Amino acid sequence: MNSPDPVPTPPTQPPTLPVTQSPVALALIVALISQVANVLETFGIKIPFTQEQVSALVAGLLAIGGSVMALWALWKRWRSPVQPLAFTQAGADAKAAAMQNKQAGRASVGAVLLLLLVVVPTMPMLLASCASLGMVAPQSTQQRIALALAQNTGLRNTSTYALQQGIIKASEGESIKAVNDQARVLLDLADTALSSDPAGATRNVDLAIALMRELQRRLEAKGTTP
Amino acid sequence: MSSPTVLLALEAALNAFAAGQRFTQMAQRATQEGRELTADELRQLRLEDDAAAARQANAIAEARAREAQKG
Repeated sequence: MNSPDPVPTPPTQPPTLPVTQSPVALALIVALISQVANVLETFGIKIPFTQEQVSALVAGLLAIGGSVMALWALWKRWRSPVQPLAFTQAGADAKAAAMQNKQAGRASVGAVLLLLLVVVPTMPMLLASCASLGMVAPQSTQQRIALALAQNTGLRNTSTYALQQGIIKASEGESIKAVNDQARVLLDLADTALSSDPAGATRNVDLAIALMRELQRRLEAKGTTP
Repeated sequence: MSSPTVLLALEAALNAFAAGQRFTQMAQRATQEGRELTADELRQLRLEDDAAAARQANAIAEARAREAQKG
């Protein structure tokens, strides 16, 4: 007696993720890079990035990697010939495979939600780290004054934006402007004393930078506090 | 995290980036020409800071007017 042709059934086990899509493999790669950096430091080879910059960069890269993987998962799900929730006549295996497809679909949606939760908040950090990475370090007190002036302008622009968006109140804006003005006075004094009193000029630049760092922290707190 | 605060964080990061780039352009040009920054370049930075200070003062005045309207 001839038996009917067996109905092809989807595999019961999902295929193993290739190394480029495995979160564990990605974590191992990052850990490996960190270890290489540690070894280089041991041999006296200086890496021109601070710990914070590297952390921010790695976090940003992981977020971008996660988003690419999420989109890739969505695309694969869309292109897959096996329909989710396709309960065929092929029995328990097909049902299990369909359930796995359904779970994969949920995972894709979860990955997109995770992407929104992770990528958006880490973008400022990534941008900030890139800002420092591409920047030339000031070589003299005069260049430090120039950089501090540009940064003071940037802080003023940020507080203007915060005021316009109603994120800070007018009183707080005034307090921020007073610090900006104070930093500017110190920088002007430093510029004036550059040739006659270099030590005093350096001291004034240090003070101005300290004021601006505090201001930056204040604005960052406004930008990260719900 | 609400969207205005996220945007503020982005704005702060972009402004820090712009400040770094502004300085970098000036410093690189000076280095290529084998000189320190000129008084004109520093004056330009001061003028930009003055303009930003004026916009800051306007924004404070507008915020104060909005707050007064709300009571």
